[in-house]
Amino acid sequence: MSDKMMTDLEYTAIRFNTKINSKVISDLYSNGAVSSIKDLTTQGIEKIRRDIGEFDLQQRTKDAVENAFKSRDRILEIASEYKTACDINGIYTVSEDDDDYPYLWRYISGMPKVIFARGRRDILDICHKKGACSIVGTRKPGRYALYATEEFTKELIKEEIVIVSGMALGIDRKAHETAIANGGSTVAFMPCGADIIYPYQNKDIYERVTTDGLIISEMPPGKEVIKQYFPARNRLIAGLGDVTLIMEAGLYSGTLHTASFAANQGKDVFVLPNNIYSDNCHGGLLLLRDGAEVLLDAATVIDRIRDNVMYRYDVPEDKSDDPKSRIKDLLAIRPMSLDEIVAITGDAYEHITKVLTDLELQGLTELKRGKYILTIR
Amino acid sequence: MGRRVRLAKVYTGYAEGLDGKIYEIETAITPGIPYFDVIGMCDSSIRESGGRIKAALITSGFDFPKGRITVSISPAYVKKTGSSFDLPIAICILLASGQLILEQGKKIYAEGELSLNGKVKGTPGSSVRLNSEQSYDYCLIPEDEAPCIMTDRQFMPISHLRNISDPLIDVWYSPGTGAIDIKLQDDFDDIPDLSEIKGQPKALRSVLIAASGWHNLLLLGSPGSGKSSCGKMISGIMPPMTLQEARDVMLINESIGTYDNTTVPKRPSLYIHPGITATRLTGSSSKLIPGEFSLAHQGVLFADELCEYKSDILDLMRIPLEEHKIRMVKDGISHEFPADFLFIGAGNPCRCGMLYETDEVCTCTPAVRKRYLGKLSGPLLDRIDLYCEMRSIKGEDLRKITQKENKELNRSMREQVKCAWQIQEDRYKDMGIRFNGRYDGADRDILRADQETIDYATDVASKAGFSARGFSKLMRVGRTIADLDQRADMTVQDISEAAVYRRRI
Repeated sequence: MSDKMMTDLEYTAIRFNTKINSKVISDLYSNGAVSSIKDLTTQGIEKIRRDIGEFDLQQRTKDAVENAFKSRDRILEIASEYKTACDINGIYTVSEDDDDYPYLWRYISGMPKVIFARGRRDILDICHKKGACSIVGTRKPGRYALYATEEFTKELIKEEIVIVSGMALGIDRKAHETAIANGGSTVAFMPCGADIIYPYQNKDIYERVTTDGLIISEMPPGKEVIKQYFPARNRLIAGLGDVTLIMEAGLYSGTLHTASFAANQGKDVFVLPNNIYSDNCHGGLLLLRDGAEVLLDAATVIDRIRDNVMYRYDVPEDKSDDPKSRIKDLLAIRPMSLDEIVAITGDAYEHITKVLTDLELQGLTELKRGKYILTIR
Repeated sequence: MGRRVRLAKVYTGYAEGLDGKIYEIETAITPGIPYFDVIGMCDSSIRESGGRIKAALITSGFDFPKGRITVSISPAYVKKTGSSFDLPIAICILLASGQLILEQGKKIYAEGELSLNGKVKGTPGSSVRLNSEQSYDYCLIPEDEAPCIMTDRQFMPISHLRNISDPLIDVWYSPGTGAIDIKLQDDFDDIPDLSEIKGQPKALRSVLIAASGWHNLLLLGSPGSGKSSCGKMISGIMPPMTLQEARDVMLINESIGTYDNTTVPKRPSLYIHPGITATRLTGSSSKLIPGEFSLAHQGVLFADELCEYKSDILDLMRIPLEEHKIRMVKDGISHEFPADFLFIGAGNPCRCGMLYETDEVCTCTPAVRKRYLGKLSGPLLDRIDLYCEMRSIKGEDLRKITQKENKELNRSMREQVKCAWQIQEDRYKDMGIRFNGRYDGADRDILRADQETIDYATDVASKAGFSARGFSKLMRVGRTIADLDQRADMTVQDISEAAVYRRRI
């Protein structure tokens, strides 16, 4: 475990302290120089530098690798500092090599490969199994938006859906507060290191989320708040939720960033219809005009999240081992009779009948013209 | 030749359907112009017997008495036919004319046809005729008859009238036990091996399940896909008949004269085609002759091209599938014939027959398709437990057809079926049935299903829109699959496989 954590920490140290940025990393990946973040450690850098002739890398990449190689002692030093800070604050890392790395992030580009988390790790699993909902809004909401936040959060919590927000004042605070108070799971994304309480007024909520919820940051511990970093944080909020609820947003609000990230990631955006005479609501209302969905009742939101969860749930398992998805893959090619499926897969007959009946029970396949086909949904 | 009336009485049997009736034959020889008359609603085959009897008696060295001979067969109100009355009438004449002497109070039974030279010949139906509890002091039956169900009765086989060599019966009467050895099949391989069905595991499996649980099966598939082979080969994986089964089969077959005592009875495997008439199928009620339904008793009835039958013929199939017997009414009396067979139907899935082919070659419109299968009525399909589709085989499997593989599949499957039958007989021994396919319920204690299995079956039934009958069918087929694996308790796996063979048309 600690080896794995050191790898993650070294990667983070390299990522934040050398010239190896996202462009360099994508160059390395596309040329096959690295295949996982495990290859991006100090040792990995040495290996890349040694074999650098074998890859067709850009000059900038080569320079960055050289630069990182020179500062490898410094990297190790920083990584061990991170390690100390993590140990003190009970922070752990989750990387894309972990099973509980957010499922949705694997399919969205630009998501951090390593995150720092503090609190209940099982919430990541709940996000996967039950779904998550991002609830965001202005720091200075009206009473109506606050009331709606509280009500919707309660409804979602009943379905064990995870509430995702940004630990800001106003709507974010209300969402976390209601979720924790009603025994639900909540995730807070910090615009700074996971050990920094920001804003300080939210100290009470921060502490409760630390124990009953989950705090996540892509920043290493100790990193102070940078204003420019807020939109990047918002993309993580949008990325973890299956849908995004905009409770109230002004014309120049960061909430609008979250909305556009969510839309770009292919997520549904629901906007609470709000007072047209209040300037602080216009951002949300303009989203509605642009085609966002109207937030009318929790049932619609819950249905949408369930759809997402159902859709993803049979994909992440290893395909070669799961007979169900294997047979589904076969049937996607063309309709096949039971006899053909038996002949192609070479599995036991009794086994395949079980799988086919189960698939039929789930409404995924049916028998048409004597052959099994995938049901059109 | 005196003036007094001389009387004699002989007992004989008569087969009415599968009921054996005892008839009395009385002969009176009265003085007068020589005349031979048989009375008692006899048809011409009996009335003609006079000629045969007279010739046979004379050629065998007896006298044909002079005078007015009246033969009465009673009960006189039943119509009778057949030539098995020849020997009893002849013996009756011998008794009446004093050429044979029967002690006071003793009874004599005889049956058989006579030829002109005195030879005694058997007639069909002896098994039925002799199937009564009545006992006689003397019992004469033709040597070449095969009464397969007689067990402990004493009788003397007789081949010629000359065997009656002395007026005193005890001088020549040498009875043997009536038990005729029925030769039972031990092992057989005269039926083509199921391994010839290549590349169709579902069809093979459904045939195995059908044979194991006595579940009626419907095979739908393209022409040439092997449906008929499956139907004809299925009797090859059933165990040889037991004594009781063999007796049942012989009883029916002997009554129409298609079995003699030298045949080794085989499990029936009958093939019927769309041109068959209703009488042929159910049997003739005027003559009480069993039809194909009864002849297939304890065996397989394979109906090829099921969708091509006329709908009134298809309707007839419903009754034996439901009641496992056929009722016929003759002269106001109801006669029952057993008809407990395994029904295998085969047919095309649509008019052109290519619906199930891999390439979309079927040219039928949906309306045509619907009308074609619509002929098979709901009540008929309700009696069918297993549905399997077949298609023509391709590539590698086609090549395999030319290779002869080991012909041991039948034998190993037969072994499996035998075990499954044994398990089922133990299960239903108090209920008067033998197989899962004949069980009419879904009692969880009898079928031994746990809650999880029942929940799963309920789920399948509700999603597939099953009736209560469909549900119990699913459970019973599942039970047979478990029996094939010799498992005491059913599992979800059994139900899920059973669901694959459910009705979808």
